[in-house]
Amino acid sequence: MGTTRKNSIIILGLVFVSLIVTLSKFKMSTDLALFLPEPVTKFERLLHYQLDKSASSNMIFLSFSGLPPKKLAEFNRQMARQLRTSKTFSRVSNNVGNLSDSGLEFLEKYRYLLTQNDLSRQFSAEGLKESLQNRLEGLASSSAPIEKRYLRKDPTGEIITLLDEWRGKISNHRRPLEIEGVWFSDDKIRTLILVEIAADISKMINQEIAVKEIRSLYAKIKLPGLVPIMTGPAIYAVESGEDIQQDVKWLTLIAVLLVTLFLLAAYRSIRIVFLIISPLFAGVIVATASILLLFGQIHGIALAFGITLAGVAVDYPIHLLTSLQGDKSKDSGSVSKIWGTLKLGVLSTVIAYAAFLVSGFGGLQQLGLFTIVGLITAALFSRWVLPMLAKNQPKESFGLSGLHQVLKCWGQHAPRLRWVVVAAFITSTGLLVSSQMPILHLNVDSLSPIKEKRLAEGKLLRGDLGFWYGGSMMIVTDKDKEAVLQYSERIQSYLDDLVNERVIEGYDMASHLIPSKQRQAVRKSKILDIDVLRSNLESALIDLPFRNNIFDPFIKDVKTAKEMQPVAPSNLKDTAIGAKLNPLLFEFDGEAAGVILLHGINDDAKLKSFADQNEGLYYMHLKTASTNLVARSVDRVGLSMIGCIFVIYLSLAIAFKSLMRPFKIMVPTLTAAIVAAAILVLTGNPLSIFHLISLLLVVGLGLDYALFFNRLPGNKSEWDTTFKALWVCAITTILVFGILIFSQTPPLEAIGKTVGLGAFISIIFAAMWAATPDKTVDS
Amino acid sequence: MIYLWYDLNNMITKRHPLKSFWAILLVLAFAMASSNSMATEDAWTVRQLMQQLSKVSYARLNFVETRQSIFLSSDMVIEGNMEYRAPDYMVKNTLSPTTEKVVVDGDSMIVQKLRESGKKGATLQTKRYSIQSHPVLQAAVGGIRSVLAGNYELLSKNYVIMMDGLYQDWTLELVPKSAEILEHVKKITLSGKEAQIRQYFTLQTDGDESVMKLSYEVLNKEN
Repeated sequence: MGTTRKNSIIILGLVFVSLIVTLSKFKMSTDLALFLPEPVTKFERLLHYQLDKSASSNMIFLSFSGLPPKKLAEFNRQMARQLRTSKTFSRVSNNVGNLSDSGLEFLEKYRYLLTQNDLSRQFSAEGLKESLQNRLEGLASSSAPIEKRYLRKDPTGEIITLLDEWRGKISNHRRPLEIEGVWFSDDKIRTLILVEIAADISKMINQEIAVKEIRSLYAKIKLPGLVPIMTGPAIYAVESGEDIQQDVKWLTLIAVLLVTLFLLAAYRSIRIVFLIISPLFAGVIVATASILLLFGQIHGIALAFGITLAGVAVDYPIHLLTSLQGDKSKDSGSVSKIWGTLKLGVLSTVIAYAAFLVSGFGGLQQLGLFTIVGLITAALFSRWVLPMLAKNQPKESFGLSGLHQVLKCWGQHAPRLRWVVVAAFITSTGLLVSSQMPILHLNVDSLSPIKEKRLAEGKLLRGDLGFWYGGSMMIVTDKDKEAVLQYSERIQSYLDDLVNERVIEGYDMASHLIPSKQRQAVRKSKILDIDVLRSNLESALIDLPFRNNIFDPFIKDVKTAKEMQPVAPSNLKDTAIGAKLNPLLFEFDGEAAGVILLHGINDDAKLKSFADQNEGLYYMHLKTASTNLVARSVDRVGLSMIGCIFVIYLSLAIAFKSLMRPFKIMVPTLTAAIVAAAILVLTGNPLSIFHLISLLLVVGLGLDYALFFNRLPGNKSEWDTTFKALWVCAITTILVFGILIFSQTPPLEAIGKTVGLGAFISIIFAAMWAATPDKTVDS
Repeated sequence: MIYLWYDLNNMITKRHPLKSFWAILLVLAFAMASSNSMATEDAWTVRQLMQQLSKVSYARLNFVETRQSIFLSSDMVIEGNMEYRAPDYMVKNTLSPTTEKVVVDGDSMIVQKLRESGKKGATLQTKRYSIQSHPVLQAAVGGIRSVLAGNYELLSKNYVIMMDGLYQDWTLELVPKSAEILEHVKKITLSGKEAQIRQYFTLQTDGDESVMKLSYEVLNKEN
């Protein structure tokens, strides 16, 4: 009794400390990245970094449709005006606007280093004459105001050429349509606004504030027929976060309620139900506290998943109480007897959950750890604390005796159906192997909690404005930014050829925005001596009607350009051009990386062979890259599954000191997992990484049942109580995982579906496979 | 009373003393009758002109424009033709010294130019703008478009209007109200006969001037 007392005090103390930790440190996160596989190879990490960094991650896309263009344009302007008054948004754009003064100044200042035109030709007498004639024509055209603005300092028209390159471009290949001064989709159905969140978006709260503000603006709209949409990374994050929170709130509540009601119906005693549930609460508290201490915060999905503990953790007190019930003398002998079987059950389940720890998903690691800590705590609590609490337990009166009779009858006859397990194993394996349906789901979307509708909207609005929306890209890496720029320049003409051949519709790259220092030096060297330039200009002006000396500012600017230091990417910091450059050219892993975003891919194979022909150039299909990532995680999970099953087998072999017995015990559970997999695949649910991990869970849980069925006592009344405990356990498990099916979060839904189904099959098969009890029971 | 001052000021500089005399008499008579109703009476004449202009459903005309620039030692002469279709469609074809086609349709302005591009020969370059987004474009087309359409509301919203002359021989002076447009255009003066605009004069803020003489080839009125 001494050890019992000591152990129970330790456990109660642990629970108490955990409760304090939980209450004082509780912080929930809903960051989705935790449930996406972590990038491993250099390019995957680069891809992640780029997507993270890219200028569009702080953008929210708004669109309005459903009314005639004129009305929409009016509404757009009004909405933009309202948004601009808010400090939440750093920028609100609804048209291309004009290049900011600082941007214009930059183009003006560096025009002779930035221009793509050949300056030795531009500054020759013939070149100048031609340019001046063009200026004269320009003065006679509709562009006269712009011509006049730059005529004196830039007669060769470099600024206008650069401006043409710059103005109105979100990406290099398209300018969005404007009606009445605001952006519209090409079909004139939607008008668009682009807002950028001012605060640091790596903090979820800032995204929430921004989304809330737009929502409240939307709520005030009183235009019948107007259809507002908002989309963008912040919306995805906030909406899925809300879904997860809803899941945590409702699913937990419903699960606890259902299990309590079921147990009440079964045991008709609040006290017994309390006894059964108390280890579960102890487990949840200690598990939450350990996650909080280890990770700083607990993920909403981990918490929601934690409720499934209820399905497993109530098993231990049920078995223990049942055995206590059966044992009139109330000494601990029967408790330690059943504890031996329980220990093995806990061990196999914990090993199964250990697969989560090596899954490579931060989120799943939290799930695994949460469950392992929770289960061990619940088991220890049941073993050491529960018997003390249960001392003066009233005589049990079982409520669901009708159901029990039915199930008992079935349970007694089930072992005759042993062959069904073998048949099920053979058929489902055969079906899985021969199935035409895809078995594995390698699409990263299967892991993503973002609603498909939102993604489609995002793609649509990005397309309207000409934003890159995640098709394909090419990557160049080299020792520094200058080297990357030089490389980009070398392949630029080939890329242009690809555009002309319609292999791609367009592309964005850093060297569109800034030339390499090398190229700038070449340009500078082509600038003529000032005296030569002056005489060239004089001869060019003969017979042209320009007034004398109006081009002095031109001569002066050329003189300055000759002395200028080349522009470096760092000069562009804090300008609009710099903001566009950042996601295209950046330092990575002590190297520099250049990204070429490809728009409108028509010929994948040609792009691939183009990249193969150019050393140092890598072609990446975003979808393929993410599929590879997922496929590798699946491989890893597959391996760890096999490893786990083997470890479970080994521990059983050691426990039973037999090689054959654990194998026999594992047959029904492994079969149940395979049958569950076959059902999922054949009903059109290819197995994602979450399904796979859940199948392993099925094995872990199923072993629990199998172990108990395996040791069903020969004595009739003992058989009766053990069997009763078993089916009550099974129903709570199925109930709790079944509730997860209603989750809005794909990972939880997948786990619920698989485990609910698997547990159900498991217990049936375990009963069929049980050591033939009929003789003993019937006698 | 500001209208009166404008009108007087304007009339004194006019060359036809007889017309001015009648006009002054008329103005004085109105002023004597009621100085408050002056503005409305004056606007009514502009309105009447506008109403006539608004009946034009289609017009095709040739233009000869003389531009005077501070950068050039001699005047530039630009020739071409224009087309107008009610209420807000306009095409301006420049034929010499450069070729260019500008289509103004509602809010959009499309500029097409033939560009010599070396080996490949000439290519047609098309650019599309939203007039609302660019004050420069509003300055260039806003005035003439409202006059062609006879849209009094729009015209008076964007310009201070001064009217002189009779229906047979009228002059309309427009001074932009918006500071953004005033950055480009200081004053526009149109003159014409009945529902035809004969001359379009622009004084730009930088001092450049342009006089566009218009001759109608086709003029269709509704009904």
